[in-house]
Amino acid sequence: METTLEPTLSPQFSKLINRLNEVSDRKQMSVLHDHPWDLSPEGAWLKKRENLSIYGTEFYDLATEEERRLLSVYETGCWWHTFVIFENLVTEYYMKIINHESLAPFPAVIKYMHHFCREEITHALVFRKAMKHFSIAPFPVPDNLKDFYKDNAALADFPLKAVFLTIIIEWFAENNAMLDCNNDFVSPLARAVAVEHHKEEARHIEWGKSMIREFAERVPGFLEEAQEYTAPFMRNLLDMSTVNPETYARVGFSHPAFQDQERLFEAALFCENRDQINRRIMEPLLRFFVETTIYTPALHELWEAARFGPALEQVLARHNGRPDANDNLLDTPV
Amino acid sequence: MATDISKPDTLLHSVDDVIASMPARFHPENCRDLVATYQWKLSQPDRTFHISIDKGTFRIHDGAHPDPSVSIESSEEVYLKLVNGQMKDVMAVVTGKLRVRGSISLAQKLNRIFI
Repeated sequence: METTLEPTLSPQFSKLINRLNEVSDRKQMSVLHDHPWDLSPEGAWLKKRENLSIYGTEFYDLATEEERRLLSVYETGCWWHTFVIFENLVTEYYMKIINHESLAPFPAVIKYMHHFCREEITHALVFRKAMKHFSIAPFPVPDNLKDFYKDNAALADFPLKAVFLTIIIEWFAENNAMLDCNNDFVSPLARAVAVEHHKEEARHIEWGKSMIREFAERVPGFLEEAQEYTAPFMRNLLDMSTVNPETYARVGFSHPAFQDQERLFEAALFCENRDQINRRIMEPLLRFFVETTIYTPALHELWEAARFGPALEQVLARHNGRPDANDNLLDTPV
Repeated sequence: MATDISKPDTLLHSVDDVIASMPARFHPENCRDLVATYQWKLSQPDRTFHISIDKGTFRIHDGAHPDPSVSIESSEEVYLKLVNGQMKDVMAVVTGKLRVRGSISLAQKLNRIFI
């Protein structure tokens, strides 16, 4: 496929767009054909036990095996529902950008944004279908996450900030989903949902990273703002997606210790196991923030305050801020 | 808001105690370039006040501001626990006991302005 782009797009970005269009032209996910929908939902685990929010805490030992399994179902269902919400939002934002026509001089970009929207709509349909398959009712979005997104992603005709936040939410959610299911203990359907999503989402993330690089270089004020709000935004996302009162309520743990919500939440958020999972989820993102100077040493204090200090130091020491060739890809599930 | 509020030397037992302690806890060097309004909307009992920060100075006002930069909503009990270091703000947020509206980056700065 040959596409002529205006000279204002960087050669790397043009090359990426052409490659992404070629891959999307070749194969896109199907709601009907790419997942083993005939598998029984009975007794299924939807994430590995080591990634349950209570794993590595005293509460894991106090839960029955069936409660742990149910937690795997509801914590995964909650993620799936988060994907449904944000994939729909991304589609809304991208259509807004397409309709704004400021990208009209870049037909290959518009073409990819159409592919992107088609893929995001399909993903949302698949996640919703998977929730129905496992009889998981939709989760209310926590008020704080809703406020936080609404107040910090001001919508304009060209919603750059919303696009940025949505991209990093999807990236981080994708890393989490891949880590949750890379174990053959997990339902093959849940693994297929994650893997098939990952095949397309990996492209979306590469595209998103390129867009963010372009925003950072070309849009006045974008980088300076992102340098201030990204650390607290990411921390809130991590914490709010780790523990959710609704998932615990749906499991209905029988042991009275689970009634002490503060102790339960504190144990889950601050245990060593969670810290290790969060570091793996965040490592590629932190590398990207360093590379794009969304993280800047001048504002290191903000990252420390958001509890990313040790993880950042590890990233800086190990990689010296250089991105890996394909750093949004974590382990491929078995 | 994702940081712990450091524990004051003596426990603050009421909202009035907290307000009275603010001049001593204020760090102008951490808000030299900042112009912002932080509002607290407390419940049980209801009380609303706001603080205007203007380049290293601050003023406290009773009542609501029409357009605060950040609005913080919680019960009085939770607010006092947070100020006294008896509850981490992250815990208050994830359990839904603390609601923060407005700019997340400005909200985070608050913990460096009143220490």
